[in-house]
Amino acid sequence: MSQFLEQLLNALVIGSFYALVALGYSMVYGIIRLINFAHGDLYMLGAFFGYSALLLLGRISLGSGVTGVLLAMLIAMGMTGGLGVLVERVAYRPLRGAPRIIPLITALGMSLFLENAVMVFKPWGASFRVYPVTLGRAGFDLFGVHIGYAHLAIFAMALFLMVGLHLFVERSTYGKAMRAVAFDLEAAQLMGINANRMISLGFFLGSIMAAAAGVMAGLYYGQINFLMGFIVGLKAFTASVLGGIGNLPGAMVGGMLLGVLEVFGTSSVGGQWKDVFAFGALILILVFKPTGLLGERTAGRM
Amino acid sequence: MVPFRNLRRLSSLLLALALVVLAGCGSAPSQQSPSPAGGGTQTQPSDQAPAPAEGDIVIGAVLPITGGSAKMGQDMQNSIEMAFEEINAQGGVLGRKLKLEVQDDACDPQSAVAAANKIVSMNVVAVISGYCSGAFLPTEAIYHNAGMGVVVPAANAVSLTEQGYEEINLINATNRDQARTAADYMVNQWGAKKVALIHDNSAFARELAELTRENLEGLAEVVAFEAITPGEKDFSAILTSIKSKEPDAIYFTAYYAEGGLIIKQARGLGIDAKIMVGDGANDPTLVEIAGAENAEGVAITTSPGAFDFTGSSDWIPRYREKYGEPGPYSVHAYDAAYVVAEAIKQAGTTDRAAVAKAIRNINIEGISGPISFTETGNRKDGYFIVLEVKDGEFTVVQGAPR
Repeated sequence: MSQFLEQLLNALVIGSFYALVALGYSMVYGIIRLINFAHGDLYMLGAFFGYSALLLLGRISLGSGVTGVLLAMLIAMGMTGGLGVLVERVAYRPLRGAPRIIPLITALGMSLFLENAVMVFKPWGASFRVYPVTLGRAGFDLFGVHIGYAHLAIFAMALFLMVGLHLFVERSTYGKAMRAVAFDLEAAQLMGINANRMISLGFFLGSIMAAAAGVMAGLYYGQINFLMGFIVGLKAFTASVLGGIGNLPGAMVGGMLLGVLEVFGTSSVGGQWKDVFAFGALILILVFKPTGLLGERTAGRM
Repeated sequence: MVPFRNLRRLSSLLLALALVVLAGCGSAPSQQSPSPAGGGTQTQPSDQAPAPAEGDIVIGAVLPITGGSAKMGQDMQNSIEMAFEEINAQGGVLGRKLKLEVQDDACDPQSAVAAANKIVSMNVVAVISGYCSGAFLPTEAIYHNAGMGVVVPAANAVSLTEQGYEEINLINATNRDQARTAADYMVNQWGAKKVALIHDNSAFARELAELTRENLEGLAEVVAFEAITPGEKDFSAILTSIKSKEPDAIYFTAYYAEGGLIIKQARGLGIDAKIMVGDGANDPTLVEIAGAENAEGVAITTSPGAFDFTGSSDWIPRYREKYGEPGPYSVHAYDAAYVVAEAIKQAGTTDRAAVAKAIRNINIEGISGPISFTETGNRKDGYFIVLEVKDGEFTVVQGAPR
């Protein structure tokens, strides 16, 4: 029983990362129907911006406390958000009218570009970087289960961001405008909505979620490198399809579900079968419910 | 309509791929054509007049320059360049300068095969290649077909020399030596009765885990034999299930990035079993990633590194001056460069087959000790040592057997 609960806790942490990254995939797909394969690399860049921010803040002795960490996270989210907007501006916007396969290939190219740019950028480089601050393993025992404060902090932070994003999209004027663009780009433009700005906003929001996940992964695992976005990107993409791509609550559910599937796949059958479980679930969903678990619940694509 | 279009797209892709493969095969035999002369020149190298200086002698290096093992590749490239600079400063080989042609294998089989095909199609005499065994293995046949001698600085899976190719020579001792050392240390030094083995499904790590399991037979029980996915960061699920099996020792056979995380996460989950890692994890970054307090007492089976060789006391400062801290295979790559240079000197020609033969028969004193190869291409008298992390530093606890 205690092992089950421990594994559940592991699953929630992994699921939080997947869910945060999956949101960006879903959001971009929802608005312009593009699977942004460079999204995993924005997660990686978020981790690196956080790394540099923590180093710089450490120099003015702000780095290791809660304020320093939150500040670094905000900096990383801002920088990555800006970069996400830039990526859309230079790589996807010129291709707005092109057949869908073309921006998809561009996205793959952008992914490789970002990875290799980080690799050749001297302060970051090819080797693994150890995060300047890592979350401790302190915690408390409940029913014989060790619950780390780090686990709780990550889960709470992820939940906070996801709820915040959900409220923004559902309640604010900007969110409404974004949903309008997602629903019908041309009609939205006729109604006086600046579609390009809304698309940029979608990229910005997706990127800051990815950056938050990247910084938290750095803090939690303590180690980052320029390829860290690849697998997470792939898994997050799977998660967003599981939940129903284009559907934001679906991305959250999909992320958590994927975390649970992986963890219980590992503990019941063995580590080498973990990805078989995860991607097997993807295939089953695609065959029996191609719209994803929550795909049909909302009428619009957001 | 759509599936049909996809099919056409796929088939044209396959066609293009087939052409590339054919081109690769086609170029290999044509490179071989001068080789029949090789046997003749080898027997009487002293009679050869110094080969006419027709530009530089090009030596290939296929190493992971990008990807997760990029650091190792760059370390090795540094060493080879350092060796070539020294040799060239003393007049080069056969009166010609040595020039390095680096190709990236990214520690990935596909990229490695492409890189090897490129190398054999160029005017390259011999090649230094092999950090990741899994990426190096499929390239062996390409070098064999081209009759090109290969000195392998780091890769050391047993299967590498089991193909029977006379061109492949390993500087490093193999997994067989490593597995024996690991099993012996866990059972006899740690008194382990229950052992968990973790690999990452790569050719090298899986083989080391399997050989260790064989070596542990009758001495200790293997309670878990698990694989992780390289590139992942969260191993808590695997470790939680290993924890419930209460092993005395855990042996992780893959690379340092995941090794550091496994140590850190195991300690975080309250696993107090002794942890040992294989030579792919022999890098100071392991301790950084794991955190010094978690890594304390972790053992590492490794081929002797830069600091454990008697010849390295004046070599290390020379390296440091140019490139900073040497990596675990810097010495091996440096020695490999000298093996190639010496082999060309002894062959007296830049003919590929003659050089390949001279490499196999080499007998020189390297920084890592005397270097010569067995008839299968393994390093003669290769051995593994055991390090332990003490106060955050790698300390030798079991040195050379001789």
